[in-house]
Amino acid sequence: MSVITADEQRAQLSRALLRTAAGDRRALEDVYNRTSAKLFGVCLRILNDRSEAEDVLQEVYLNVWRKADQFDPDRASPITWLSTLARNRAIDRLRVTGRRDARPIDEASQISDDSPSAFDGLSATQDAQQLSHCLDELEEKHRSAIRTAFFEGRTYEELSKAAAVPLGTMKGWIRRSLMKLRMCLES
Amino acid sequence: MTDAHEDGQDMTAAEYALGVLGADERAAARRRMEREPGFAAEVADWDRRLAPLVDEVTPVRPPRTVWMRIKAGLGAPVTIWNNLNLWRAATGVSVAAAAACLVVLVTTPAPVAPPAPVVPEPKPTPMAVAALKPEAGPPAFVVAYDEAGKRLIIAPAAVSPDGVHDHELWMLPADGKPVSMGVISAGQVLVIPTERFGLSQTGTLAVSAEPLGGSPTGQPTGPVVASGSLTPL
Repeated sequence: MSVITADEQRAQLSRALLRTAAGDRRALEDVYNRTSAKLFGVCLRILNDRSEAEDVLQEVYLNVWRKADQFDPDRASPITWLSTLARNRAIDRLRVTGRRDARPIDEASQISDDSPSAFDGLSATQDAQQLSHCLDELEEKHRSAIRTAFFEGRTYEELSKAAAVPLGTMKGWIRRSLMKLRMCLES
Repeated sequence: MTDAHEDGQDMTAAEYALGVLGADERAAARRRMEREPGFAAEVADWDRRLAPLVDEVTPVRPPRTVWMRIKAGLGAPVTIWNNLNLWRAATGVSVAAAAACLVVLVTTPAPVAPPAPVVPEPKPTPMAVAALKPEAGPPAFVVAYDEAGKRLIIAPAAVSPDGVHDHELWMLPADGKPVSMGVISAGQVLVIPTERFGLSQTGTLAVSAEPLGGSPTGQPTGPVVASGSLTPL
């Protein structure tokens, strides 16, 4: 990575979002260049379908263009704001189309991207380390359910089937885990 | 155990942020976010708590066509000068020269001896051109769009056939899925009637690599090998 620190990367991303809110197309392109590979990865993981993920990614950035004025750097980090937008869009699409398990993603066209991004160094932040620590405190099968829910956007029903436990059990696992997480993160 | 409350705790905000709710419950949660600032703040707190997990997601570079579709969806037109300058900077070829080449390509009759050294005058009809470029490197295809004649001409510039793929040309609408305009077989110049496509003079085009004969699904299945936007002359 370059000499630009992770903090500076994110500060630049915040500024680019603020300029996007002012209608600056180059700023939107800047936001896109800094974040699209990660957000495409997020959408692909949830949708498991390249064409759907491309559609959603397009929607995400058109949303960024229209709603950038709702981004408040004092209230949310640009990373949180953008990843949340992408996850929600992808999950909403997934609820409409259903998950594509049958069609494997064309591996030849799936090039992972190591170029610098606004997400670099995220794991080193205090928030990330605390979350990781608190997840580790959970029971293995509970942690696994939380992670699958987050990364794949699965419903309670799907999670309970996948884990071969009754729906009520899965709900109990997830809700108790979320409460534990909150307590751990706030301690 | 009730669904919405356990131990007196409403976990809907957390469940929405985590992504475990079904479509109807998600819609209900969103309506609640609009009505109840406290609930919206709770969701935002959970978004912030969980967001660091995205660090574990492998980044995947999206094809350049996604950005082109986004740009096409932004609304207000980009000025022609911006487009022309970008185009020139990117290709090092003047737009007029590329268009003239294509006009020559499609209007020159089969060679007769001696070949007539006459370059036909470009017709003064509305024309738009595009250089379709890969992620890096020179344009792979050159496109001329003759709006009055309702036809689009695409010529390979720097592509070599591999014998197992054809190239397929797609129109990328500002919103919606790509529309196939035709399959380009090994190295040939393709003339495509455009009445049914509603192509604009600033439309966005892309070429994907597909199985011989073209995409079996009606949507691009292979990687995008080149893309670009038309520029009116």
